[in-house]
Amino acid sequence: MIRKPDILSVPKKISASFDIYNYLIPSGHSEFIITGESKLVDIIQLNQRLLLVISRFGISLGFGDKSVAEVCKANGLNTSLVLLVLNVFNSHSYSVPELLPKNYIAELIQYLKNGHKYFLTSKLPYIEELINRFIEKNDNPNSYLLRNFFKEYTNEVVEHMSLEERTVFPYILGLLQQSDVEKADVRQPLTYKIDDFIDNHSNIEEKLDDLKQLLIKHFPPTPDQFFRNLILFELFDLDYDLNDHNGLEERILTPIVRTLEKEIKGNG
Amino acid sequence: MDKLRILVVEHSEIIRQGIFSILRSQSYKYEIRFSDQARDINDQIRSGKLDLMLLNPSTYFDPKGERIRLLRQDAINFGFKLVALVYAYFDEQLLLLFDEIIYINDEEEKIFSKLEKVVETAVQLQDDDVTVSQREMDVIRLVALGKSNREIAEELFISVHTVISHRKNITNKLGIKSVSGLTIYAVINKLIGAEDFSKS
Ligand SMILES: [Fe+2]
Ligand SMILES: [Fe+2]
Repeated sequence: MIRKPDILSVPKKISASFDIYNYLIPSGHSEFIITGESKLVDIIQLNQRLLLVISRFGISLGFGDKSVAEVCKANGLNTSLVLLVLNVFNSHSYSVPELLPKNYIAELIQYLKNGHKYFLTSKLPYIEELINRFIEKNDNPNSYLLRNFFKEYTNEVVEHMSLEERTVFPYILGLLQQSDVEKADVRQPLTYKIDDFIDNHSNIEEKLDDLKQLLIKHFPPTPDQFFRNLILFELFDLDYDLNDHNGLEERILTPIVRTLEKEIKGNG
Repeated sequence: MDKLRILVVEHSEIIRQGIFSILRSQSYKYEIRFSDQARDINDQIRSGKLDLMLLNPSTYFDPKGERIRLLRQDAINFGFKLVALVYAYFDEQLLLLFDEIIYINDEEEKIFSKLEKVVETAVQLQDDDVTVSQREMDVIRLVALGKSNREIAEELFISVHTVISHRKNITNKLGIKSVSGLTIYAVINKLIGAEDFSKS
């Protein structure tokens, strides 16, 4: 009894529009710096992956010729945070300033939550749907194994992300509230530390690699290669995207929280 | 085990050629790549397949050494060694962040011994054979059946240590790390029947 995912805008009929998924594959280097004056439309032309960032900040397409700063203003977003995330996504070599302000935290957490939502309710179910299509097209008695494997993987991701939403994010937001309290005696002692999170920040890409290897190297040749390729494109993209997501948690969110922890301990 | 993957980050074509011609004599041991595209370098780091990075620290404009510190962090996280290639003055403090330093006037012998030393722990040179041996097949089958290393050792009359080393080789050869991934491999290759595979 397999529950069909209820989301999904997977086209019922395959058409040439499927080709658009090719653009999602990491396209190598994009070494340009994005500034407040950059036109949003221009930077997307240069690096289509930035579309993902834009949606996660809640910016809708259809922004005409507006610059990043203008769009941020219109959406009530912190322009410097948006620029930081855009630049980090755009180029992994973009160097992140050492001291980041704590007023990034709330928006950054919202951004990460939106990312979680995307992974859990769009991306993973979409890939599952592609796997189902692949299975339909190829009556290989073993193909159900791939589906089970992907379900197992999905559960790992769900667990990883819900831990963050249940434990880590609330802790950080609580910390933020406490740091606004002037008197030290009202503060709660710290029961958790952000380094506990980082030390256990689990690797959720291992099974993803395995699945890629299985599809590329080990699963026997199948009459349909179209969906098999499509699944692979999506897995590579997911891998890349998860890496960036976790990188944001480790390299941007965590240092800010560490500073906040010190500040609270120092004053308390 | 695979060849040792070295990524050389160096702008000068002359130096790159020099490094290449020196390392080529040991090409059975080292696989050399060159890159100076930051994004490409990062992708290679994140692929987790890098063993050693040979970096000219003055490649980047990095007065405070921020980039090098990040690289150091990456080296720890992704398990590769960071070696500096120095031919101009460079901040001593920052050089401390490297696992080893190769100087432009080092002789060939010296370069090799430095490389050797720095990767000592990481390398166990084996042949490039990627075919799975009969013994490894046995191990895969038992892993797929959900047996522990100890149980596998008992069943095959080998030590647990040997089981672990088989499992490492299997992962290297097949590119599969998880038990469930190996199980699929075992079913596809009929090492176990689908009926053995109970936890569907
Ligand atoms: Fe997350
Ligand atoms: Fe995470």
